[in-house]
Amino acid sequence: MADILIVDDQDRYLSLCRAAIPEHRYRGPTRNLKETLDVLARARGRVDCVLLDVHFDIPPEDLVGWSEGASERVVSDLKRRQGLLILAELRQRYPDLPVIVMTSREELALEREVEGGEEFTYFLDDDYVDARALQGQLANIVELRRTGEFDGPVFWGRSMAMRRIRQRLSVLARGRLPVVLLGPTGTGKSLIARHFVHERSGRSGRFVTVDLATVPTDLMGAHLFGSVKGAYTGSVGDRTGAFEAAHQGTLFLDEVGNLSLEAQKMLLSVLQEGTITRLGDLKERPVDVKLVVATNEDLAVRVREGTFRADLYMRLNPSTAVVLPSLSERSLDTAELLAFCLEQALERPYLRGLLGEYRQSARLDGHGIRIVCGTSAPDPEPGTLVLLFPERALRLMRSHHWPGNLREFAMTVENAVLFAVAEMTAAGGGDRADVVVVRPKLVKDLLGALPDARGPVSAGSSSVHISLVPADTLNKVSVECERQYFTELYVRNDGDFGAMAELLLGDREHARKIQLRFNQLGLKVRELKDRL
Amino acid sequence: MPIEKMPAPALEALLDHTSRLKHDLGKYVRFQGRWLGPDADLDARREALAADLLHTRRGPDGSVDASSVWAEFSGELLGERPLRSAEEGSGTFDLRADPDVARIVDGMAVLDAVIAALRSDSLDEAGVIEGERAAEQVASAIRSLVERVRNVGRRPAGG
Repeated sequence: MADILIVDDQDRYLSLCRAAIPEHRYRGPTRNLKETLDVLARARGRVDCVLLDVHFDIPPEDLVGWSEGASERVVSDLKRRQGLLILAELRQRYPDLPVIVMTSREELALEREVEGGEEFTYFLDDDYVDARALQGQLANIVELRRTGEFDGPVFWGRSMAMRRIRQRLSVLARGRLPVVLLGPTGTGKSLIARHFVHERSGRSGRFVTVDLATVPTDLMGAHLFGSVKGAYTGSVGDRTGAFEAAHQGTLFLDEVGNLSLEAQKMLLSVLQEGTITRLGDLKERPVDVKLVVATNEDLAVRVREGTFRADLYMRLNPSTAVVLPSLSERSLDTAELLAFCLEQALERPYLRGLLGEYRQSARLDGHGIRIVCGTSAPDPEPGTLVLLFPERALRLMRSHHWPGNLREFAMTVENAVLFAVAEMTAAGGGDRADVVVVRPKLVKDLLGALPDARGPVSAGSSSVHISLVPADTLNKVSVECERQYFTELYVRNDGDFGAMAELLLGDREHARKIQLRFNQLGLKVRELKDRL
Repeated sequence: MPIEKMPAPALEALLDHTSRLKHDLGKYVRFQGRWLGPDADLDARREALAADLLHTRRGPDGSVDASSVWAEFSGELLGERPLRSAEEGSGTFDLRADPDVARIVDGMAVLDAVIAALRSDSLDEAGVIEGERAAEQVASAIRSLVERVRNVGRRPAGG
């Protein structure tokens, strides 16, 4: 079900949509721009699509573009193209909100308002449209919005924060200024640069990436700007730099904090002049490059320390920097991310090959694979192999801290599938040969081998993050600390009081004591069950 | 007079007039009916036809039927009232010989009878089919007229 806002001066579209396409939720109709913006602001990103009429027969003072003293003729014209004026305002504020305009493109041939946001603006000729056509259009738009199919391997999820980032980047991608991507390692900066910013930049040239952490300092200039024969020791021929290779395309400089001071000076010159000069050469060559830089360092601090040029920093357009959140800040997206990564993993040829072998050994026909995240497998379907990721395994994934973020998550998922298939093959199939189960124990083992930002769970070396909560007595503060400590240990030990007793009192036999204290602290097993 | 021979200010006025006709009548005379799809039953089709023809224009003051909407626009196309250009009156033009205007006039004559039958609750299946056909004819003729007027207006002078 999608959430659709109807912007129309009449109720016709609303009543028709409700009757003919009842599977969606409809808001509105809003009768003018102000009402529309109010509803969108209150909806806080929950509106999936806007259905916009063009002609609005509404009071003149409600019309976009109306001013006191406007002639009848002007008012009539404003009414006739009011929908397009509303569209222009929506594009400014919600650049990637899908809008279906109920008119044909031909009708707009003489209009100037429909510029920008083309990718998210759809036209349906209301002279011909019927319920089926609109239903199909809505289904396509909603599917694209939900799955993020546009963005290839970039996972956005449904959180508001990520939606805002996506909207912001979609605007920045079209501009000529550099884009700065900040955020911890593994948050998808390079994927976003390649598959989102470059794809949306409208540029015809290549996407070129340079990881500055891997380029030796003394070769950085030649690598980025090119060189001519003899420019430096060992330079045996002319060399094209990354800037030239990315001409009319996008250049992604990863770990930009590693730029040498000399290269910083040259980069500044390129940004100012729009030309590069190869090392050892005098000839200036024009370059037109969309620059995207990424770092997990705080460049402002580096500027204060004097290791990053202030003038270059300002040229990089830092006021529009986009900060990508760590995975631990996106826990609401875990289930969706898991499905996304499973689908990606199953695209890998070696995993497909492995599944093929398993099918053969288990004498299963067909090629279909269905991913199920839940408590049980669905009924068998001929030719379909089910990959079941149980709820308990998902909870383990959710409670892990993922210091390596998306990259680490994706690798864990891939490993989980690999080992699950291998286990099934070795066991010759389980109760149901058509269901490959990623067992929670397997996930736990994989996660146990990974560093957790919260530290290992072993006596003498474990650390637990505790939030201090002020209270009116020290005892209450202390009890709250102990409550958090017990909660964390309980979760990390998978609800095993014996393991907690071993950790805290050196003997599993004291499990009863631990459980007693657990109860005294007001902790409830059933309330923590979901975190296991 | 053929629209191809009309002077530029009159063409501009005609484009404005026919665009409004398209919005007020052309779009809504076959609006709900088109949404039904091919499998709809007769009652649903009759209901949609009634909505499209009896309530063609809806507003805060109630609704207006297709015949009344057409009456607001027909005078300018049939030489009974002058077309108004952006700045001043641009003259009177009788376009009833124009093929699209003729199709609108014919279609509306059928729809007048269908509207009367709808009001007296006596529209049978043949009447529904006739009404749908005429409504489609009016809508399509108006679309064609607007497109032709727009194309003639775009043509360079003397070309």
